[in-house]
Amino acid sequence: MKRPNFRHITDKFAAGVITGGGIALIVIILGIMSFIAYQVLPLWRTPAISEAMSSSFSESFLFVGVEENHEMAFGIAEHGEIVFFKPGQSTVINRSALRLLKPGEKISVVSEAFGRQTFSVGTSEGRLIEFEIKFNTTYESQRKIIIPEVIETSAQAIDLSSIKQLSYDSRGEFAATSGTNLIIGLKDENDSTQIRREAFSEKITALAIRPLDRTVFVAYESGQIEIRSLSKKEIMKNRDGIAISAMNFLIGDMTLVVAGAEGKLEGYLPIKDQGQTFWRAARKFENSEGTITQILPSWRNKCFTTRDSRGHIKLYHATTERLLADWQSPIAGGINLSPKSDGILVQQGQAINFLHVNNPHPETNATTFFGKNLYEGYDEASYTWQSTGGTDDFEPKMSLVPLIFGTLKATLYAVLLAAPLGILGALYVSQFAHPRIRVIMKPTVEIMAALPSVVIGFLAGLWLAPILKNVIVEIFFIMIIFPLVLIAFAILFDKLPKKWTDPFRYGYEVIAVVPALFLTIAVGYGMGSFVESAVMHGDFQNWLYSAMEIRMDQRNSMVVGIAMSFAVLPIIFTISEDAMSSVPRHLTSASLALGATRWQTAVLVVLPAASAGIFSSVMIGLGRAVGETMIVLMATGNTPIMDWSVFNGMRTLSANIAVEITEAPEGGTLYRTLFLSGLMLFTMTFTINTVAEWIRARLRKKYAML
Amino acid sequence: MKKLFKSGDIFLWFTAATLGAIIMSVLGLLFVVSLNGVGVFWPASLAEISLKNGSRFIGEITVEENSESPRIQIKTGNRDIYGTDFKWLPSGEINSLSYPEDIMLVERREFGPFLGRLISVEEDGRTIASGNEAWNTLDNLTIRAQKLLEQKSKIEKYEIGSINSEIERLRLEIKRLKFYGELDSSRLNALDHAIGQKQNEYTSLQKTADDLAGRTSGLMATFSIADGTTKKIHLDKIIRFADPNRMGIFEKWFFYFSKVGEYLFDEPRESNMEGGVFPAIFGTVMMSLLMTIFVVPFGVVAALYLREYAHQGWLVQLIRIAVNNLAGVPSIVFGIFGLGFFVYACGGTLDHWLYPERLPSPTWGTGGILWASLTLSLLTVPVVIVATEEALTSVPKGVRDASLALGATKWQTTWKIVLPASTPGILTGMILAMARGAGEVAPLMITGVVKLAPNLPLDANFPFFHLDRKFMHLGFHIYDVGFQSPNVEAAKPMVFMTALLLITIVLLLNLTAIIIRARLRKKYQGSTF
Repeated sequence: MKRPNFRHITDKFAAGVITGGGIALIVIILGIMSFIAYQVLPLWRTPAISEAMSSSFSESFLFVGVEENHEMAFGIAEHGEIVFFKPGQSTVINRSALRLLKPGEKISVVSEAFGRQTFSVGTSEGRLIEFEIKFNTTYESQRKIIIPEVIETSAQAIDLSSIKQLSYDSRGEFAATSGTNLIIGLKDENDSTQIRREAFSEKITALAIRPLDRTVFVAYESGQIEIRSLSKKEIMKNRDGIAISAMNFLIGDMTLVVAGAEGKLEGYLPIKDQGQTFWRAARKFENSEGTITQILPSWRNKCFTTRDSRGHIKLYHATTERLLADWQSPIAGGINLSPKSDGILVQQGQAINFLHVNNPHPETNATTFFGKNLYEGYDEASYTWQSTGGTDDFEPKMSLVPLIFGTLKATLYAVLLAAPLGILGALYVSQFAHPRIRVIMKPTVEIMAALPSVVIGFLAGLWLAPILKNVIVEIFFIMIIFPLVLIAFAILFDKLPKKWTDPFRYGYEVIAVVPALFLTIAVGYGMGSFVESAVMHGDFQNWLYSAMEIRMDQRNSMVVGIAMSFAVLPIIFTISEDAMSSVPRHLTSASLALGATRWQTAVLVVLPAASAGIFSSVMIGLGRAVGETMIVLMATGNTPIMDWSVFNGMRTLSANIAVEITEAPEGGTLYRTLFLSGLMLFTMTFTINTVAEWIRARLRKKYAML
Repeated sequence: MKKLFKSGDIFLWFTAATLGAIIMSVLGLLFVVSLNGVGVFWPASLAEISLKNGSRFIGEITVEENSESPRIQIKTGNRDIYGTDFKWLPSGEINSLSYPEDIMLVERREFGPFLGRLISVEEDGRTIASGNEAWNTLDNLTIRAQKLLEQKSKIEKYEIGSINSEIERLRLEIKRLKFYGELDSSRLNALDHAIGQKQNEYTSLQKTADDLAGRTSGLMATFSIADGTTKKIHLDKIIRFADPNRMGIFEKWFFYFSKVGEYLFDEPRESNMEGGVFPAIFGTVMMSLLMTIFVVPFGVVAALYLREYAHQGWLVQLIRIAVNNLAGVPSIVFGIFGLGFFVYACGGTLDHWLYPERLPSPTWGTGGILWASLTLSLLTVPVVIVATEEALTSVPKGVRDASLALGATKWQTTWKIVLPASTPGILTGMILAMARGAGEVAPLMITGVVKLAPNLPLDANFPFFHLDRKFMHLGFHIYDVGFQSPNVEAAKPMVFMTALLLITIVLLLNLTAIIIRARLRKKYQGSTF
């Protein structure tokens, strides 16, 4: 029997470690892709409302609310007491009575200002009382304690017998109605409140205050909406005459959500048309079964929650026009959202239910990323990428289409330039060049491939772009006269005494051609600058604008194309050179022996044989260009526009990730969207490369069989 | 001539011209970078220009434009006076242009260079030298001021720095004990006492440093700028000065090399636009080395598996294709993977385990040199695998068979025979990976590179290697200074210099790899088994 000795144990151990390393490699490759996909996944999770807890009290409330961390809730009772409790528990933690309320005076209606827990209540004696609820946090022996505080700020008599509806904002402006009497209090230019009062024959059904331009939107029983400010009033056009049961503005005051009778739900946006702004029902939402009695905008994003007469609580997102969640509540009184919109309180009589809302990425679906959307402040649906704005009420615009477009545009220009150069250069090196030239060429191209892209990008953005701007016409002429000069040069070379030209033949043409290139540049430059000064008054940029109305960016697609072709060319060159020079020798020898010239052999024998390899070289070049980041980041202006013009820039998927990921909070919608674009890049390059590799492998097999 | 077209030789010329254009563009790029980079620190002659309208300017002529309205651009310096560094002057308006010998170039700690004439040197308001002797006095006093400042910054950097890190450590200790509820009053007192002591030390050292600074504060020099107005400059704000128009060639070279020395070995100044890039060089090198430590063992083991141990079936073929593809995945994708996985997932978890008391301020859950090098090692692992596999393949089968036939185990053969023979190949892969790492920017800028890192990731304070620290990188330096600095035009020379440095490093690494590989090939072409 063989005794296991030390070296066999070592051998086994080493085999284990090495196999482990191999498996780790597989895990890593799969892991990278799965991890990125895993980060993207939550974007498609359906938002959910789930019931959490319920509590009940001896009194019934007109209004309920909750603190932003859901640690304390409150209810405002008719007799003017504010009751604080823990959500889901029925024990009262604290009671606070409104001191400004007179004995016997009752609260009839409560309105909460948007974005702040300040309230205005209308009373039975026709007064408005304003107060704020604050939650002060202190720590006592490592425990967090929340102490609620009610700060009463003012009381004013508005002389309205019974206040039925009230709309109130955080500046203290209000609109109140008893049904047919309307009282509005808006701030004027000097920030002092002006009161307007009017009586109508028609019943007012809904009120919405718009602090943005200090107006009040009043809906009448006939379905008309009137827009009133201190100085003027106008009727909103395009209304369909359906009576309005509720309406409210979303965050930013740019979308007015209007609920018509029988549950019709629409979003009105101010849209410019021929110089005039009209409110138009640009967003349509799924209708509700019952009459919608409440529309609550989220304080965080463009979501809103509705409640209808049949007890449905529905969560919508305005930009995408989606119904995110639907909850049938057993109790169907008034509802309120928590400040972070992650909880809903439902109240009926003495019972209060607290619902959890899980809705981290409301704004994402396929239409957001790949479809046209009408955004607030825009006049028509568009593909727009603008992920962050200066203010909280900004509507994120997350269309990936302009970025994909930019990626394709940059890739196209780069490959259009690099592919012919790389393939022709490779053809020369593999078929015509002397082995000595080949020995020099390999390291030169390797150096080109090794150039850090940040250096190429910097040169493109700061050195090439300002120069290119001034020599566009010259370059155009250089390109035109290039073939002419070259043909002339070849003829001349043919005529020159053999004694002079022989050292530069048979593989050394590339050295002889250098003077021709310089000549081309000199002649083309001269012609270009002559034409530019004669025809374009010496300024191509101005001429382009005045003659063709094309605006030119300094960092445009031309710059990107040239710079990126620097990164792509070595790849195309190396792989096509490899494919061409491994065409079996007997094929070319046979062709030459039959009397074909070198060129004929190259074009008719080598190119067809190597065509698959050349194709795959271009594909791998494409793959590189798609993902290149630093060059596009530095050589373009990074504006996400969709325009094929060579004179404009673009923003690519990769540059977009680099620009925005540092500002994207972990786990947020933008963060995950950037991971989505990363995943797209990953799959794109992975597919392109796999196909290219497969083609190359087949080619190798073909060569082996020849 | 007919033959030329018929045989197709004319098209051959086109392919030759294409190749020529490629070579020319590569050389042209290297030329542009070298030309602009090499000249950055050369003390150019300074012209004094008076215009027909009577205004006068001093500056280095940077551009001469011969368009329809010819004009010249001069670099005037004196950013604090003019607001910009450059001025365009129409050539037609120029009355006279001369190179007076008494014009001085003064490099300052802020507002970039100053150009003007020296009038006098003052100490505490008294003029102590003027006219011809002012230069020497200024020279002596500046050296004195610089020595004092050097002492001061030494105290601030090393002694105060270590006290600060000690205080920070004690603070975190208190936080930690508090978090775990182990902080009783006696311990708290002891720690507070220790902090107090350190703070006293700090105050006294700061006083020493301030005293040193105070000894230079009275020294001032008065200069006049082109239009004749005077400007006082504190001597402790002067880094060096020269009179380029009077300097001989040796003095110019001396000045040049002292600037190059500052560039390579000093800290950056004025939001990276002046001074040196030492922290960036250090960060690049340290990150590349760390990356090598991770990537080489793993890459070699993976290649050994693929080439020597695994059964050569479809699975290995599939892995090989995947590795090849991994090399083609955009670097920014590795960047976001690094950010999501290493920084947020791994770093965030580490923070929860090790430093819960410091949350929400992250220790490991933010970009750092460790995460950046791990990310880059994923990016470069295909390079190492491919190079190693190539080297392993080139070891002749006969050698292996001989070893095995002599009774060696597989591992002994691998370790004693195969690996030594493929060392140059592995080395090539390693160098290529380092070159790639040194030149890569996109994944780094989201996993730990910053424009200015106050502390190096390696210093004299415990635990010496600070792998959680952010760091500077030459490539990012180019991007940041060239595209995000407030004064791009003035920063351009610096960026060219850094680009030149980065290209040199990357190309040297690549050339080494090319040479090693060429030797390797020759060796195996000659060997017969």
